[in-house]
Amino acid sequence: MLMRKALAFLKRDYLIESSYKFAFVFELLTTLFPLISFYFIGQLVGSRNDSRLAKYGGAYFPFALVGVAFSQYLLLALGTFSRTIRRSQMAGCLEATLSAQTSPQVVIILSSLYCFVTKLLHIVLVFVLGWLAFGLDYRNANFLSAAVVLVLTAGAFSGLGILSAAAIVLLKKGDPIEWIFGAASSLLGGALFPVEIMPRWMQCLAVVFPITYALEAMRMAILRGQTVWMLWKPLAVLAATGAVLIPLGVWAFAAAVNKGRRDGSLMHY
Amino acid sequence: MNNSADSSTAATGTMIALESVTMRYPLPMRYRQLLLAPLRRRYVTALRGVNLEVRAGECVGILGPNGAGKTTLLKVIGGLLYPSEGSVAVGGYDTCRDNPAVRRQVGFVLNEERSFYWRMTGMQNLEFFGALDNLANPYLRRRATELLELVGLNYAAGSRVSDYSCGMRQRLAIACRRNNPTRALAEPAVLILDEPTKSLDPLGAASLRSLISRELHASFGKTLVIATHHIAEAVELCEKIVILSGGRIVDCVYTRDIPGGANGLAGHYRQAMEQTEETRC
Repeated sequence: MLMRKALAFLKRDYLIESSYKFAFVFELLTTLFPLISFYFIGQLVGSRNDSRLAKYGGAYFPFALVGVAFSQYLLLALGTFSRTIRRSQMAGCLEATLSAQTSPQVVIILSSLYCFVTKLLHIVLVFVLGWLAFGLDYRNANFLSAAVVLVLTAGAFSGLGILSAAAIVLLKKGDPIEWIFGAASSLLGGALFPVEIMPRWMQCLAVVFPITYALEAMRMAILRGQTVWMLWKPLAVLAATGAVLIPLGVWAFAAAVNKGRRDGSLMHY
Repeated sequence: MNNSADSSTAATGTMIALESVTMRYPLPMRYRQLLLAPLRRRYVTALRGVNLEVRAGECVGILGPNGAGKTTLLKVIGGLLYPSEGSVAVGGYDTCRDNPAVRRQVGFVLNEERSFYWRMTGMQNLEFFGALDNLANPYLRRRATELLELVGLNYAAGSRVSDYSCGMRQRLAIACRRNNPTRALAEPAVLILDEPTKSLDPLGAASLRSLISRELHASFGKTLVIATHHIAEAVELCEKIVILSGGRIVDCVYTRDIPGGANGLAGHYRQAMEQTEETRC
């Protein structure tokens, strides 16, 4: 039954999104432009052969490509839950959806599926184009490790995303979870530069953010071909984060919906 | 399903029971209040000590001026809102404690133009909400086709909801909330309609009223709770009329006991409102 509901949500979002034909094309272009930009930045800084990039293979372009593509995916994972809730509130469909025979927790999780799937396809497209157009070399890549990193990271960020959706149900706009983990993750997670070049105190802060472990593990899997076993430390952190945050997020979301039902603010936006 | 809840309904014949229900909404805090007294919340009371009993298969109309608490009362019955005080039971299930069971019993036709996905067709909307209600293909598609035929929308099944008129959207809303899988078509369940004929032309409104009284109530014996501003509509559709003002039930009458049909009820309504005003003064 859950699978059927998941398909129903995927179909709903596909029908709605594909009805905005130009948005689909523009979104694709938005994904591709950074690829070209980072290729040229890579050309500029690549010749300096920075020792801090050595453990990732030495070249800047692949380092930045993995960092940017993957961090975009993660930030989307973080924001998709709250955006779904806000869109439903503004469209007037939230109350109708929550009056159906599906629990609010299942509704919030399944509502984000389409975004996860499409953004994953975008990432694959970016990497394929990086290979075809810019000569990126994936001969060393360990795709099994990359898939494990992706799944565990999606889990950890989904937990944060559901917490973020709970905040949107309560606060309507101005979500502190997305602000803290979204804005700070881009800076501290090391999407565009290695964490090691930041001052010591910023490196200490970076340890708190799951994106730091996710990017490190993904780069090591794709650029250095490390196995799941070799990546056990960051993977363990990501798994533990997901194991704590997903149940916490689900509980917080249910509590926020109950509060909305008590004070009648569920449909306010 | 809780058998004891169902059997208690069967024994007493009561489908909906509200006991001393009060509903308070917190008012948004201003910046000054946030600074000076952040812990002191102010509330507006939408329902005050409401007691109501609706028997299975009964059709009850809720009348009252704007802001009387009609929509709040409907949402509290449908389990979309939890009461601040008191208790609400539908089919023997408490709306707070057994909310999923209540949602299985109740279909809610919201007074919201936008309770659908406008960029999807009527059929696609029915299929999506049907899947949420645990229906599966091929039964779901057959059922959606049946329901569209029932509400006279089969010709527009493949059109986007954004192209529908107000009347068509109201009909689609009724079709959508009829997707109750735990009950066969002819068994009684609860259908809540919030101003179903709002913004419809006279012919569209008459057609919808006929659908409600002929198909939903007479043929299938649904328990109906309808909020409306139209006295004639209340008389045409309902057996029992509840008059609400200032969040209180100020009168509860059976239409058969009021002579003169709509005119008689209009007089009754005016009298109830005047008495409420006098009490307030």
